[in-house]
Amino acid sequence: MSEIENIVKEERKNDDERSLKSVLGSKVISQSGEIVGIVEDIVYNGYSIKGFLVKTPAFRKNVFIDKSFLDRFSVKGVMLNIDPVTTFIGKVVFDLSGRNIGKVTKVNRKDDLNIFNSLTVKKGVFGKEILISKSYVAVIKKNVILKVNIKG
Amino acid sequence: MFFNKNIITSDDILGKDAVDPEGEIIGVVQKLHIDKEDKNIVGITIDEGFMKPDLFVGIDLIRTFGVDSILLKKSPVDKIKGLRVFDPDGKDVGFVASVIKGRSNNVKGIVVKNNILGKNIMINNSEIKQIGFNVILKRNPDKIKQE
Repeated sequence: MSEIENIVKEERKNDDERSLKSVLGSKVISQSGEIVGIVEDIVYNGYSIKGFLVKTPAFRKNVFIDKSFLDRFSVKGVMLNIDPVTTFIGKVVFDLSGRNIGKVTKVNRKDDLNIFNSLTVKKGVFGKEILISKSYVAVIKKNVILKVNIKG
Repeated sequence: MFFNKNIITSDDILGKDAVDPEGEIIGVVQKLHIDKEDKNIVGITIDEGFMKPDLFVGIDLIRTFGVDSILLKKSPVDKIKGLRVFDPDGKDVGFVASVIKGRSNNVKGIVVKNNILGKNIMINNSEIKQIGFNVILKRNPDKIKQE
């Protein structure tokens, strides 16, 4: 890499500095180790970084993640301190009796917070949509397990 | 004919997905194991897929024989084999080649392989921050090796 000339106001200690360009294309990893997507762009306002634009798998929308949810970032990857609720889309939903009631097609949230109120679940292309309240959800990890039985 | 809605047949179990407490579909139920003296089901065998060994799960670890799936009470420890391992900066360190189990069948540590031909790194459970979709370490493995 060629030497860089500095023009600064006071002495520059660049030990903790990272080039934003080198972060582009890095993996974005959630708190539980899921690869959410890759950094597509960096969003800033005035002089400060607001967050990252993350390109996600085809069946999910791209997502803006606020910088307050970043744990660490480097050229190797961007580590989050949350599991984005948008990653719930596509997960299979089982009720308490082990019935497969479909896949999450939509995560219903209040505003743009990382908190969901309910999940929209649909089985197959022609299946009926079911709204599942957050209070019915026991576990959301690899897939979703409910606390209740769903009649259907 | 007496009808008891709690009675199911092998058709209701075999071929169904086996789902662990995290919602992960571990495999498909392939066999039922029956004690021929007591005439009770003692467990099931799960086909975990191509190139993976079959998994026996005792009846005590089965939560529900469900309509579409069998729900388990516990996740098999070996399921973390093959997961990617990341350091705290998101660097891909390798994958879990094997699991070191403790006495109570919990994860005592993991052996991480850098790539197909790479050397193994042994990581103690105390150095693991999170085991979920993948494994996240608390420290860079190079710093762990130095001690």
